[in-house]
Amino acid sequence: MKIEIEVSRALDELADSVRVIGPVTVANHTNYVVTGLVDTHEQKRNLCWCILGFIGNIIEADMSIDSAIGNGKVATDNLQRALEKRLGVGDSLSLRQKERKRDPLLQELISHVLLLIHQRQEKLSVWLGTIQAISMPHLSPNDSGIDLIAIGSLYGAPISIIGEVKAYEKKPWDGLNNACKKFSEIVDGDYDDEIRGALKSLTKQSDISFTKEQLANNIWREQGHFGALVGHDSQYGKKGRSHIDVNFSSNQGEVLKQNADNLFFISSPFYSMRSLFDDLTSELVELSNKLSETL
Amino acid sequence: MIDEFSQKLILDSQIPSQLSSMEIRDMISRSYLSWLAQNIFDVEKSDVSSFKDELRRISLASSILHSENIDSSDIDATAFLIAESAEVSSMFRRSEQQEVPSNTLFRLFIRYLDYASYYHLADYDANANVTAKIAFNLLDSENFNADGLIDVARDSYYRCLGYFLRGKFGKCQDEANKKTESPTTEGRGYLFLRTCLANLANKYRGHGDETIDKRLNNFQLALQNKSVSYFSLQAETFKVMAFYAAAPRKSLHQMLESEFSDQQEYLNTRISAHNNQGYPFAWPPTRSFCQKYFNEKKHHAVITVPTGGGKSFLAELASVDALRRGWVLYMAPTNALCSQIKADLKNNLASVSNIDIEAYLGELEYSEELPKFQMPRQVLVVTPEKALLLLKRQPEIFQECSAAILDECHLLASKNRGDIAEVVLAFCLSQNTDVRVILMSALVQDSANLASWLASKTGQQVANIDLNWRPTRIARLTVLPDWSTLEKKQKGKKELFSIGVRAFGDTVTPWKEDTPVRSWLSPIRLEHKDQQFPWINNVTRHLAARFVEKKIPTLVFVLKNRHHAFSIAEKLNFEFTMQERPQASSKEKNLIELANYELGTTTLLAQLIDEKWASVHTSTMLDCERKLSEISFERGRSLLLVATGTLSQGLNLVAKAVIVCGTTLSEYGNGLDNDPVELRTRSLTQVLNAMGRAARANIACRGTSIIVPDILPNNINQNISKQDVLQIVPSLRNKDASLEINSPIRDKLLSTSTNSTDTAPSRIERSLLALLPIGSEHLGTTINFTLGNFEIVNSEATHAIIRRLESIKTNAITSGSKEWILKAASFAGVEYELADNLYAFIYSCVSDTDFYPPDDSYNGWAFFLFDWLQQLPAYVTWDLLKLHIKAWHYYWGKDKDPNLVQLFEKIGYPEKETDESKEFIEQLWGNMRLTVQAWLDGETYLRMGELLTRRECSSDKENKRTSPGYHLPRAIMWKQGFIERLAQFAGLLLAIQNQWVENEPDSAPYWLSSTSTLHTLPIGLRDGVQNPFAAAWFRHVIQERRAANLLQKLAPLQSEAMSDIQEAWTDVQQSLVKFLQIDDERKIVNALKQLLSTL
Repeated sequence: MKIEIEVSRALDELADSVRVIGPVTVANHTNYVVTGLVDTHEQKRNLCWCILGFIGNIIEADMSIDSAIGNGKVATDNLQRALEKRLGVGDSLSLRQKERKRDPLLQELISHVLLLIHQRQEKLSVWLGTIQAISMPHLSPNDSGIDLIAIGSLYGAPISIIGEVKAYEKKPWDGLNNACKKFSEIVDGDYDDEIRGALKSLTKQSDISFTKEQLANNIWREQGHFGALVGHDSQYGKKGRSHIDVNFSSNQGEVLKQNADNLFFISSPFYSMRSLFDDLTSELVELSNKLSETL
Repeated sequence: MIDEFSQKLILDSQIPSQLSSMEIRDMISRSYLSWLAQNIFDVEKSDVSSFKDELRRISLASSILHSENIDSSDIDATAFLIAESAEVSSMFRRSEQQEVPSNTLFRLFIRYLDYASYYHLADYDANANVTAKIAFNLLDSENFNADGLIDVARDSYYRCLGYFLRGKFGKCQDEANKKTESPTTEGRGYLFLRTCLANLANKYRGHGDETIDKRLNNFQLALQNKSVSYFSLQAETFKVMAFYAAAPRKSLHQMLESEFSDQQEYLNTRISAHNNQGYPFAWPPTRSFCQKYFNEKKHHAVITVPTGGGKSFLAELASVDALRRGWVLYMAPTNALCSQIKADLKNNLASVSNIDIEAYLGELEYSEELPKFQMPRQVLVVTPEKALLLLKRQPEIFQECSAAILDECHLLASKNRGDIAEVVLAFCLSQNTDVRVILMSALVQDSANLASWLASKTGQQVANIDLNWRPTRIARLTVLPDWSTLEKKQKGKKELFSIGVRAFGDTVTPWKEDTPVRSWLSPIRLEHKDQQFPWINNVTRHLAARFVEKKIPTLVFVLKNRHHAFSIAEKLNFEFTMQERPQASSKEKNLIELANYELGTTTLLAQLIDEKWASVHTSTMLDCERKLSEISFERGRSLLLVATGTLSQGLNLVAKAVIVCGTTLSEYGNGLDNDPVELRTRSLTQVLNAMGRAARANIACRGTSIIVPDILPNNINQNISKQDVLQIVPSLRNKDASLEINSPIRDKLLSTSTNSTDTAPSRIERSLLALLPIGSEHLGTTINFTLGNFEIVNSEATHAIIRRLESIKTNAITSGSKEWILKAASFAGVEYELADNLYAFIYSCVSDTDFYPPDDSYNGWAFFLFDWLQQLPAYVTWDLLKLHIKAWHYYWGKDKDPNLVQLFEKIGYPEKETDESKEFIEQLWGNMRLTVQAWLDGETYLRMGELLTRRECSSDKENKRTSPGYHLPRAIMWKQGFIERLAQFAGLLLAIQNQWVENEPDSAPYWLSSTSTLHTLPIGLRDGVQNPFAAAWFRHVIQERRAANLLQKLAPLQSEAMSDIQEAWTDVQQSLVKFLQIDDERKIVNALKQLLSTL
């Protein structure tokens, strides 16, 4: 079993299984609801292959898939070391550690998988256009940087995409509001050093179809597209009764500060986020072991 | 707001193709003007976000286009645009003053260092310093590391970066040497960058490790290939690589290394920055100067760089260079500036061995003392007047003068003093063919003309540094009444009118015809009983209050009338509280005590600082009061400094805004010079100088100057055209360098060239002889080297001028005048006929049997001087008389005095006299004698005012300063006008005595040759002290007259006689030690002890 083959296959299968409701443009933003990522065991397993792809650096900066992690036992050992380091696998994590470190990283990795899926089948086109270049996920949960920076192509012009990933079990709309806090800081210029570095770096990738002059013009014209990718429990409200409403428009303070035309809410409802992330962690360990078993 | 140089940078920047550079220029300016409108004038709150977003996007878009392969030999123009647009955008954020969480603070910290990095690449290092300081202030207030927001490696890298950008290389390297480890790849990357910065600091002085350069390259390549998004690390790596590329261009050490190879200590302490001080980065003017003056070996330099562009530093470099070959003459226009230059050079050249810095201070009067020249290699800091005296008395030392520096060289254009500076420079050039001349000014338009003068007269090449580069941007605003806002309301039975004030600002500085102007209606409303609204002082006060309320240190320059400075400060009205106001320091308290002692009443200044947050700085103040104002302003105890235009010259004060109150100097001046062209020129100079004082380098990146026009303009509303605004305030469009320099003596020389050798000398010719060194070996050569002669061009005319002046001298001698009398007149700077007259007067005294020799005291000699002056023809003393009348004339109430100047001019005085005029003249001489006696006896200024007005001052008016008619300003102005003129006559008396004793000792009367007080009379008279010993205290210890008298009384100097004040230094130091041990509980003694204990 070769990990790069598994990752590639898993991505293709996920691209087929993922369902997106939206875009639904409401008063203050545009909504998407994404399902079909973890609804079945097969989907979960595919997602985990993709996550392993990131953790094991199988997915390159230009989004190509190429293994540098080795084969068999070597690959298993390497991946498990990476899992221990990044997700704390093997340690018994407290709830707080899970909430603060493991879950946000997993959610960020899931969000990046979503973008890889979009690369194969465009499902979030209004937000992302056609992906041209994308930042790799942070593998350090303490990193205070921007979760996702990408360049898409929309109507023939490049557009910058900023994503903020949140894992909010019970209050997905608070997740949107909190993501918007960061968007305000970004618009205020607090992350410009990072964005400068990212855009310069992304424009150097080999297969982009735009010039940096085009990108500069576009950035001057508009701020880019801001997307809050919020993972949450599918039944999140009081006593677990509420479901996400794709027609709902948030009126929270930070949301209202944003430009409604450029703000996207991408919701990923999971049956239970907490147990999902526990499941995913176990699955990741299992899959990494599988690499050596099958040799 | 954007100046010409930064406009050029924007033009050269890589920008989004949808925008033009002019649009970008206007956006930046418009945003800054909007920031001013919102934050100073509290208007236009609504469109904040659009401005800051626009600029941020421009910055981001340009940074995408920013080439990584820029030509490192030139300024990185795009870096300027990236930094400037982002920094202006961030001003909106800073002024919101919200509480922000730690993680946001950390982002801000990085953000400001990011701007600082781009400013560094654009060679705006003072701006880099300011923004890095803002970042460090955040760092000091938070511990990001403890909060777990940042790993130790990253924290350490950013500290290193901040130190590097601030030119604190020692601290940068200390930080890089700290033992720090990081568990992450990214962290290790930051640690490597930290090493790179420390290595770069070494490279700045040519000691870098080349292998680190290669590793940095490899590191960057590796990062690009890395499948992880280390974007911040990548961005920092790019910057560090760009810093490396810029180092050969920016490193001042490398530029000077070969030239100053024998001055390693100086390079280490002043340039290398390894001691965290000095100038490691070469600003553009510095670079241009080093290239031309040192590398291309140009002999002279004419430096016309805007205020704040680093001229003083260039003079320092030229001095260090010249000190290897001889001594340096460093001229500056005022004693205050000379003192500051001396103190700065003493500090900055401390590492240069075997040299000295000496100041030779004083005014035009002749004095016996000379510079000590304790070291053959020294910088002598002088006013042109003292330099002129020195060259007349010791011409031979100028053969060893290796460089003559004239700071504020636009002085050459002044009819009052330009001739003196010109003669000094010409003399220097004539004495030593190798002497280098450095002319510096922010205001000279035709530097090429000055360069041609030096080149043509010496045959040497001239470095013409006329770079219009300024380290900060200054928005130029004006305010006008908006008559469309005129309102009338009823207040009781009376009508009350009110009108709004509109502010106007251009996108460029100076203003241009075709650029967009922005205006907004300020909340300032003027009220008055009719439509003749009190304008200039009133609106200035309102504006000043706005800046104070916003806690912005602001200079207000009052051109029209120096007493208005007090009036503006006194009537300030604002609501302002600041929690953390600095307490008055003990030095400030002691200066207040000293001022009270000198004045004889409480100083109004203390009250203004305390209650109005306003310092005042005018010539009608005591030195100790001005010092108090400067200290309080620097310490932030006062936020406003209301000053006259003279302060705008040279003195460097912390300010972010300037308000210029009026654009025309008072036509009265000192009552003697009313040349309208000269006044216009001086007005313009002062306005331009004043505006250049907004936003001092290293304090702010940009600032504001607001010009308040002199008169209330009518018929103006928001639709006024830009052309009309410019017509009302023409100086808005003046470039800093606007002054044309023409020799003030050219026309005098020309008129001389046409006179035949045997006619009687004209007034102009006599004044030329009083000015020039008259020794035969010097007269002709000096004339030959003058700017005036260069402008005349015709060599025949030059010969004719020299022949004519020589013949006047010869004729004077053949008709009975003695050569040494001519010399004495030249030393004293007066016409030789006056010297002849004095000699004859003394001689007549000797033969007069009723004559009693004067008492050998200052008072005795002053009375003798009056005896002589009183018998002179009226036209000789008329100017002196006018100066006294100005202080004497009481013009208030029922018992006011007649206006004597008008009265006398009406009868045709000084040519004609009447019985009435004679009676008044008699009274005036009597009053002069009385007041001069009191002056020398150490009376307070209040008492002097009473003697001058002949009226007791009521207690409620004692400390008033807002009008020249009050007692204190009257007495101080009398000192500056009348006493200084009288000191010149005293100088002549001393010069005659000196020359007589030297040349014909046997014929000199005993009472004249054996005097022990006359040697210091001109200085003592000017300083207003009781005797030569007090004069020594005044010179060396405390520049206040009553305090000097008191010191002499409490701790008398040990010398039996005091003929040379310079030599008395040691004696004074010994007595000072005794004074500090005296047991005396009086407040003034305690204050003096504390003030002097640090000397």
